[in-house]
Amino acid sequence: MVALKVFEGPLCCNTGVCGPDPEQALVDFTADARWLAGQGINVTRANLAQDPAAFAADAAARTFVQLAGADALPLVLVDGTTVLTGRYPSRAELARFTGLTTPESAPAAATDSSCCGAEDQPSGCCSSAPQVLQISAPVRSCC
Amino acid sequence: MKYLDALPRYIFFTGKGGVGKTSVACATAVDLIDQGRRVLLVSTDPASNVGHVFGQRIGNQIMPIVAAPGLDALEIEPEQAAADYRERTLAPVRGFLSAVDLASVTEQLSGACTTEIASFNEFTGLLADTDQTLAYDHIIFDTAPTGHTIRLLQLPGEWTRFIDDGKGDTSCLGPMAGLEKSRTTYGRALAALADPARTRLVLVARAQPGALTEAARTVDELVDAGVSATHLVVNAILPTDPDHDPLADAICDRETAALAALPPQLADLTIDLLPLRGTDMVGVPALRGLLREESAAVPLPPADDWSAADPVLPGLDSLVGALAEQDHGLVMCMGKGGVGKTTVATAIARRLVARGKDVHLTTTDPAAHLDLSLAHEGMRVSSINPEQAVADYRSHVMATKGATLDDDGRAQLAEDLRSPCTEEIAVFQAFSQAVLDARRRFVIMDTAPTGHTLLLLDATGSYHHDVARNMTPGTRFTTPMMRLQDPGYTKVIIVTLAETTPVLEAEQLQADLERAGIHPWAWVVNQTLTGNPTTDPLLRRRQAAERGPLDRVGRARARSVQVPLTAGDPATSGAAIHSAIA
Repeated sequence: MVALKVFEGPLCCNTGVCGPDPEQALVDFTADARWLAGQGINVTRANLAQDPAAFAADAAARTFVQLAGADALPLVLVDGTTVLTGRYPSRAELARFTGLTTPESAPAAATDSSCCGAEDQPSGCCSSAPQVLQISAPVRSCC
Repeated sequence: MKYLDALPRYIFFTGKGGVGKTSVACATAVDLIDQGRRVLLVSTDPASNVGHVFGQRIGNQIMPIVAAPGLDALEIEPEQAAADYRERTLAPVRGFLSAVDLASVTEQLSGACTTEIASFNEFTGLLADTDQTLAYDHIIFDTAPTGHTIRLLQLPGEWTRFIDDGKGDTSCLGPMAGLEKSRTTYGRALAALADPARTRLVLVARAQPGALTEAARTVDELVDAGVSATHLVVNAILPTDPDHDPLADAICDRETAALAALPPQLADLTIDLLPLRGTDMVGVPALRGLLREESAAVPLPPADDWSAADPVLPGLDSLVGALAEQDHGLVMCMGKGGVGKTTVATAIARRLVARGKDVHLTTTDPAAHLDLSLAHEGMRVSSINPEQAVADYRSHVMATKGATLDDDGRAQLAEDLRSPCTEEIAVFQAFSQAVLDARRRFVIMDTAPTGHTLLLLDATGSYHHDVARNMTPGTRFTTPMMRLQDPGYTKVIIVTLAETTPVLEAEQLQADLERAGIHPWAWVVNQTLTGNPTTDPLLRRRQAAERGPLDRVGRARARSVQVPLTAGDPATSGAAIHSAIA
């Protein structure tokens, strides 16, 4: 069974769809994650405020936060491999990352102009295929 | 006492601070041990005085009460419980998070929600049959979780899915990372809470409109969470004074009127009325007297060196004078439900108008009489209905952010939008136009969001994003938070009562605001008996009891005033309010 893990910045509840003003990205991703779980994918979400223990227990997440800081989250892993950082994946991307669809059959997600981080922050938003980033050697990808 | 009939195993007393929950809980415990039952009394009051009541030290370990054989007690300090909870939650990441990230995570875990969940966590084990609790026939709690906390703990979607996934019973509790008991334990605790055969939920209130309105809201909230409050105890009702002291008569009239106009949610409950007793609720004999008829004459409290007929603190005019040095600004009255924020806001607005100022009073009080009578006095009056504001806000979020979701996602979103901070913000946003209005005139509001909510909003909310989006580098910008932090623009007034628990709660409110860089400008101790001449012995005793809280507020804050209770409505009978015009 494919396992998709998403490590997120501090949120005031487990989905982040809470508090005074829920963010659209979190509203959408919460729905998409539920959908993905319904497709038989093992989806785990952990955010820094509600489940910090999950960060401590996962070497990739721990190192990522140490090097890039919480601002660089979310970090999306599939079976331990980083597939996306710095923004939430779309439903189409989730399907592709987890092998539900192939790259040919799924359109690439529309790029969101606000998703490109600073020069030194890895960002997977600008190429048509998801980049696999080694945390230990940040790849500079820019729009 | 009807609430004692066929009492189930668990008894929760709930009500706002200062209504006498602890006294009623202790008296109930004594009544039960007198019948040969074994009882555990659990207090989570921040000002817990169970130890004082029974004349011994109690802590966060179960202790036998020497003066009441058969009774054990336990005190949970909510702030300490919350701090421990945060510590447990953050321990795993302290080693590798930067200071900035750690601060941001800590703030997420510093709200009222966390405090409540941490307290609930402390007593969850007591709601399950364990070796620790099997020895007791009854377990009495002097507080109950709010509907919001119950809903969080229910996490219906999360838990069911989790079980369906067959992942067993580990910690997939989402917002409750610091909970260390098993999911089954929480499930059992919640089931016990919602079962009237096992749990009786008793509301405690005073015969005052504010306290009763607050109690009605609690009933609604609990019903939403699937828990029914079935009983109401109205505590400390002033008996008729045979000598017809004017103040005593006025209070009697007011209490009679409040009970006659009981909100419908409360009218359906089983109701007990408890008269105000002439003794302090300390010691087992006094507690026995609380629930039984007593006809002994009330002794006058010992005279001391101060006259309760004189106010301890200056009057409201001293605040208004300081405000009137400007001709515009935002004044926000803040405090727990039922302390009289609206009357204080209204009194300030009227006095500023009297000084020739341009004033806009904006309130959450739906009472139309307010609008009509005050609009004639030369001030703008606007009011919003909090329920309507919340409904509008929710439907707006559902229509915009939830537009593309499927049914499943929409149901989840609707559930998530039910947190208390949603209400704070919905109301505040409804006032946002008025906040800007304060650039030109005085705007007086009777509500404000907590510091925690403002911090989260400022860091992550749309305010911040809107500002950031529209910013060209190098330009100066102002977020609503910055306006609230500017003492030249905004003055926060904390409203409380002359009683121990409300003063403590107000201090916590102040600390919460200070974390957000907002420093309350003044304190108003509202509805004090002190400052009124009276011959009624019961009222004299209560005046004596106000001395401690009044002194505490006066010592701690340079700008603190009191508004004595008056025969009329303090908001509309300015002449009756003792003013200390220097």
